[in-house]
Parts: sequence; structure tokens; C-alpha cells
Amino acid sequence: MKRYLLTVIALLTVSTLFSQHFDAVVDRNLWNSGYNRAGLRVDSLSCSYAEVWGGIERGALTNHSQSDRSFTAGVKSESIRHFERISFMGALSFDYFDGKNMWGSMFMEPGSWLVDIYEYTPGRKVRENYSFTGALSYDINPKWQVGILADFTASNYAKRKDLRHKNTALDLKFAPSIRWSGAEWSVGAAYIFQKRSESIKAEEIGVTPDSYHAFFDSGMFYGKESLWTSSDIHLDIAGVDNFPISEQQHGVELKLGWRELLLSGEYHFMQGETGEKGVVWHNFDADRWALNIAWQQRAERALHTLRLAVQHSIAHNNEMVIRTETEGGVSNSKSYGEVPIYTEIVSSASLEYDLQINKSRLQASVEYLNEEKQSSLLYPYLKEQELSRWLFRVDGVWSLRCVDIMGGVNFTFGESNYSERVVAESLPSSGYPPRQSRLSEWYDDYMTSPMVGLNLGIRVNLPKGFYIEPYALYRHGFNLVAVPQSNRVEATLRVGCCW
Amino acid sequence: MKRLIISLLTILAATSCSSLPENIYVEALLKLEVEVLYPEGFESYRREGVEVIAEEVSTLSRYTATTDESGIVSFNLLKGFYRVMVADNAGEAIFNGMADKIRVTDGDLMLRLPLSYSKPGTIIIKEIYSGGCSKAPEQGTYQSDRYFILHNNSSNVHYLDGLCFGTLEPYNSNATSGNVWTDIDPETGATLFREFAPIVECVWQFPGSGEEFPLQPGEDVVVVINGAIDHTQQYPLSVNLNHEEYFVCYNPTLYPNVTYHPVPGDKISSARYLECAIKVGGAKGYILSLNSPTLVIFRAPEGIDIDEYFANRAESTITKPGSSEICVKIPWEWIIDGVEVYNGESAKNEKRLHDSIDAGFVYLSTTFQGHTLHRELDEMSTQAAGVEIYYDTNNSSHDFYERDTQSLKEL
Repeated sequence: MKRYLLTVIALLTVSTLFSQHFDAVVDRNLWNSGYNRAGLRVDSLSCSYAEVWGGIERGALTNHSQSDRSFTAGVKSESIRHFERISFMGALSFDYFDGKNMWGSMFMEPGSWLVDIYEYTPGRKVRENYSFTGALSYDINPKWQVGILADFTASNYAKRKDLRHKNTALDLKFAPSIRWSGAEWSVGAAYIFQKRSESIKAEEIGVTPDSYHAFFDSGMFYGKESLWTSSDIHLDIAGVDNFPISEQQHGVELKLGWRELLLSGEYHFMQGETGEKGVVWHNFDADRWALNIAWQQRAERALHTLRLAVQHSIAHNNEMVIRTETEGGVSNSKSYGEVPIYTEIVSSASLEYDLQINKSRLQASVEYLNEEKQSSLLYPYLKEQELSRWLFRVDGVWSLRCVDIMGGVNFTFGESNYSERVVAESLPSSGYPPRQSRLSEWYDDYMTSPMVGLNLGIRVNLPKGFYIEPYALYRHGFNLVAVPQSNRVEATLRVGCCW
Repeated sequence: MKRLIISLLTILAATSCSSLPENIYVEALLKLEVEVLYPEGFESYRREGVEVIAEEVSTLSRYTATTDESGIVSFNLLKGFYRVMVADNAGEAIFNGMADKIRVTDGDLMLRLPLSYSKPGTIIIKEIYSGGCSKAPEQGTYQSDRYFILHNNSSNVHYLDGLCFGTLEPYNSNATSGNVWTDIDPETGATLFREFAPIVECVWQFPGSGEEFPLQPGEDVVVVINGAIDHTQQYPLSVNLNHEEYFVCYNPTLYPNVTYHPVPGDKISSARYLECAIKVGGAKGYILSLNSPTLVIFRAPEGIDIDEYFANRAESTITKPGSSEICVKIPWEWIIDGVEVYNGESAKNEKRLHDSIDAGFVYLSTTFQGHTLHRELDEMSTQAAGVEIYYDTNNSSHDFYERDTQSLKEL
């Protein structure tokens, strides 16, 4: 779904291009991509790092719910350690985000769910993420390995100006895996369980004659606009704590390796809902497939890697038919079925070439994203959108003796088309639910307008593995209409240590 | 390598083959067939072309279709709870019918909708203002300025003397405990009413011995529920209710709350104080619902002394089921006019008024914005009669609309 989108966007936002040596060590082993950690022991290079970082972002070349003025900071440590029969991989991190002038989506990651809730008062938002990842791989014998992956992230999010809200979110992944390896062939399998949830608590503290409105987006920015306390927005419902949304995913991953080639296929089934305690407003599900092909070749000091990734997902959101029935003074909500309100098909493909020579590195990739969306809020109308986006990226690290110079350029562009049709002759006299056109136009503009990004960083390598790394990214958009500004600058400073 | 490329292209082609569904609604559609039943003696009014409306209760999606010559109409609808309404204005006769919360979830459904016969009203409710306004430029909200307006919608003089009004229990259309005075038909989900309207707290009555307060054809009268004073002196967005022609609900003995019942202004004559015909509640101030006031005006028919009726509490009052609250029983036949107002911010509204009084409802979308519910002017009838005539089909869904400001501010 939109995880693919967010992956693309993450590439363009503040992050270290790669934490240098550690990411290079991870990428050396093709089995480290995906969920099967039984393949951790394919490589034998141990590496660890710890770093603290801080950054600022300026400029309104953003999506509708992002900040044009923010500060981020964090600490992170990752490690891969190999022992005689067991290997470990772990990560601990804390991230802090403080953004001003933020309004729009009340969720932490706008677009990560099939519904959304928007408010309209710009204010300061603060987010904290606590993340832990642990994985191990154990040799049962020279041919068989077992592995396990656990990933846990807890997040808090708060806006401290009316209409204010507090969010809590949890994301848990668990994947046991197994691997068999022969002379030329290797096979692996992993079961994946993921549970993700978020809860929004909104409140109004100030005394004002203003009425705070909110918009409940049921897909494609069509939905209901009302006072935030209205039952249509689901933020203030008697008997339900806040606005809860959650999903569970079950998946499998199969890997087949032959010499330098590794083929990986994934299937995930997701089911989720909004609401709780017998009051469920929406029921959504998704099927996701992924195919990854990687080829790696060593030639003297050079390591060539070619990766092809194809992902496809189909998601449906249904609104429950609910009636509150009162019996003996006790009100209970009863569900009488569901009606479809939104369908989304997201496909993406990426092709990447990666060249590592000692500590220098060159990465070039092309990525394609296609979204097809259908809103079905009023029978017999269907509103549809198709959005596609291309991303071209080249990044490099030139490692000198005491200094590593990092740089890169990326370019994106896309297009969006809308259509509407009816599937019956008799039409209703009521109109289709309203569209939050300001936000939808902003989203389309941000996703499809041509943009170019330049990044430059320097890592100064100090004795005993310490380093200082300033990094900057500049982006410029062309032909923007709804996005407020055409420039954005992000700067980060990292201080860390590798061992 | 060639085989690899072909495999990749095949996979890419396969993923691009899945497309958006052609008709996502197919599996969620059900058939609702409605047979319109005219009252006994009026069967000849059954005909082709009568408009029937099916409105989904929570989304307010509204579908319209017309009957065939058998009085039957068919809808294809998504699963949900629907309100089915018929307003047949057949000239000298009005037929209204409404079935609320019809459950279209388990399969195709056949609904037989009985219509009620009613005549156009004489004295009608023209405007209701109960939603309050802002205290701007100060901070806060204000709701001590409620009023309603009655209108003589006929070509004859009618007298206000002895006319009564009240508001129904529950106060709010989206009461948490629901409407205990109605039942639901287990087969169709239609609302079943008792034989009376349960009036809460108090019945107010116009003073006069019979012909002291005439209402001329096309004339209006304002009834102030709270505060017959000039509220605009303090809150400009409110209204001036200090006027010599206005009536006011004022009884400081029974309702001593001065916030809602200040001493009437100097222009209000004490002869225009409404009397409290019967008080069954314990409130110190009388109000209508802020977000969903349902108002009725009524008289006892010829031969029944309404004061004697109210004095006989055993006959005229009833205890609310599941509560110790007492309500006044007013037979539906006594009611001259009524308006069902729904809370526009809730999807859990329940009907309080019988279909014969008001087969529909009008939404009050928001409170504290100075909004009122006002009857639609019938331009053609007004031109023909020479006085203002308003729509009166006993269906507020058709007859009423929501105004942004109080009509009294334009006077």
C-alpha cells in the first residue's frame, strides 16, 4: 500500500544516505533483505556503530500534512555480530521530531491507513519513536539454519494547540525463519506476523466561539466534513476510547538462491478495523505480493549487485452498517453487514545497480509507482484516480583516507488522472459526499510535479572509529500549483562511532 | 539470462492485469419494494407517478422513484437502514407516510407503507429559534433568547385564545436512551407510535376567553419562550424580543429562573403572558431542546374542556417507562400542527412525532450560530390569496428549511 510510497519519500527526506560501513556490510549479504534472518550467517563480517544526530528542515515543498519548519534528533545503535554457531543483529533507536505549522492529517504517517482524519488549525506537533529490532541466526548443522526476527516500534505524537490531539502507535513484527544451503542452491522460508495500531485522542481546551471542524476521509479525499465532535468524525463517540485503528498481517516469504542469484517471493494478507469494544466502523483488508530478484558478483575488489523489486497490493475498505439499539436503558451497537467504500491498487517496481569498491560505493536506481484508487461512497457513482510516478536516483560515496565524500542527485515526475462513471441508470437526488479538494490537489501536485534533489555530505573519520558527518539535501519543484513553496533544505549532523 | 528476462516481464504483466472492479456494488445491493397503501375510503387516490423517497439514515443518500399504477415502487439499494417517505399532495387532500429505520440488510424486502390523511392546517408553526447564538464580540455562547412564530395560513380569522403548545419527550431527537414511547416493527423496522404525544415538563396556553386575540389571515404572532427583552443590547447576534405584539412564557412562581425568564420588557403587556395549563416537571426554567426542538400546538376538540382534562391527572398524565418522569398525554388528533427537528450533528435521531402530524423532519445542522427552522413560502398560493401562504404538507422535510439568521432580525 502506501508503505511503498513512504519508502520512496523516505529516500528523499532527512536520513543519512547510509550509515556508511554498517549499511554496506548489511547489503553485502543478499539474505539480509526481507524477513528471513536465518540467512544472517551467509556473511561473516561483524560491524557495529552508535551515533547521535540532529537536523533541521526548512521549506514548504512538502506534502499536505508535513511541517515547513522542523527539528529532528535521535540516537541509534546497530550491530551485527557473528560467533561460532550463532549470529546476532540488533538495533536500538530513539527519534524525536518537532514540527511547526502543522495541520492536516491527525495520523503520525499520513496515508498509511485507508482512512484519514484532517483538522485545520496549524500548530506545533511533536513525535517520539522508540524502536527495537533483534534478530538471530543459529546453525543447526552446516546445511540448516534457523532464524528469528523481532521488530518493535512505539510512538507518541502530540499537537498542543486546539484542535489538539495525542496519538499512540505500536508496530510489532515477528518472523521466524529457516534456511537450507547446499553447494550451489539455498532455500529459505519465513512466516511473518505484523500487528500495527494507532489511536487518536482529540480534545478542545481553549474557550473560543470558534467551532473546530474536521474532515473524515473515506478514500480519495471524499468523506464528511463536520464539527470534530460529530459522530461522523468518530473522534468523540460515547463508549469508545479515542479513535482506534489497527491491522494484523500474516505473510510468508520464500527465498531461492542459486550461486550469485537470489529470488524472493512474499505474500501478505492484512485485515484491520477502526473502532473497538463492539463498535466497529470500518473493516478493511489487503493482499500484498512482492517479488525480489538480486544478483551479486565479486570481481577482485569490486562487488556488483543488481536488484529488481516488484510489489503489488490490493486493498478494500468497507463501512459497517451499524445501528444502536436500546434495551432496558442499555444501548448496544449491532452490525448488520458492510458496504464497500474504497478500493486501492498499488504497484511498484524498482531496479537498482550497486557497486562497492572497498569503502567507496555507487548506487543508481529507477523506481516506478502506480496507484489506482476507487471511491464508492454513493451508489451508483464510482470516482476513480490513477496516479503514477517515476524516480531516478544516483548516489555515491567516495572514500578517501580520512574523509568520505557523499553526494547524489534524484529526479521525480509523475501524472494523475481522474474519472467518474455510474453503474446504474437511476441516480440519487442527493449529491456525492464532499471532497477535501484543497488537500487532494496538494497531494497530487506534490506526488506528480517534477522535482530534483541534490544531496551532499562529508564524513570525517577520526581515530578509534569515531566520525562526524554533516549532510545537506536540497530539493526544488517545478510547475507547482497547490504546494506552497518550490524549495526545501534539510541539514543533518551526525556524530558516531563504528567498531 | 533470456529466460530470466521473459520471466520478469511475465510477472510484471501479471501484476498489471489486476484492475479496479467494474462494479464494486454488485454484492452489496438489495431490492426494496414499497407498496403505498391509501387510507380506507381514499383507495381511489392510488395511481401511477406518486413519488416515493428512500433515504439512508446515516449517510442521507436519497433515492427517488415513482409508483406504478398498482402503487408499487422498487429500489435497488445498498445494505443499510432506510427512511421511506411519501408526501402525496393531491390538492384538497394530503397523504403522508413514513417508515423509519427500515432494515435492508438481510435480503430483498417488501414494505407496505400505510399513508395518513390530513388537511392543510389553519394556524401553523412558521419559525422555531432554539439553537442559540454566539456572544460575539465577547467569548461564549447564548441560549436565553428562544422563540417561535405562529402564522395564520388560511383565509379566515382564527383566535389564539386557549391554544396550547408543548414539546415532546425526549427533549432531544438523539437521546442516549432512545425514544421509549415508540416501538420498532420486528419485521420491517418501521416505527410504531402510541396513541398520544407525550408532552414533557409543561403545557403553555394562550390567555383569553375566546375572541380576545384574533389572528388575521396571513398574520404572524411571536411567542417568546425565554427572555422577552432586547437581547441585542448585550449580544448583537441575538434578537430583540421586547415588542408589544409578542406573547411570552412567563410565570415567576412556577419558573423562577431569571436567566431564562427575566422580567419581560416594558413593551410586553401582562395580558400577553401565557398561562401554565399544567406543569408535571420540576424544572425551574422552561426550555426547548437546543439542537432538536420538537414543538406541537393543539386544542381539545369541541365538547372537551381541556382544563378539566388536565385536572384529571389519572387520565391526562403518564409516567415515562423506566423513569419517574411524568408526561402529559395529548391525543394525536388534538394536534393542529407540529414540527419534528433532528440534530444535524448526529446519525442517531429517532422520530417523536406521528406521521400524521409530521411525516418527515428538518435538520438543525449546528447550534449557537443563530440558525432557525423556517417554513417555505408557497409563492403561487401567496399570489393567489393576497396574503402570505406557506407550504403545509405535514412533512417538514419538504415544508421547512434552515435559516442562517433569525427572521426577527430583518424586521
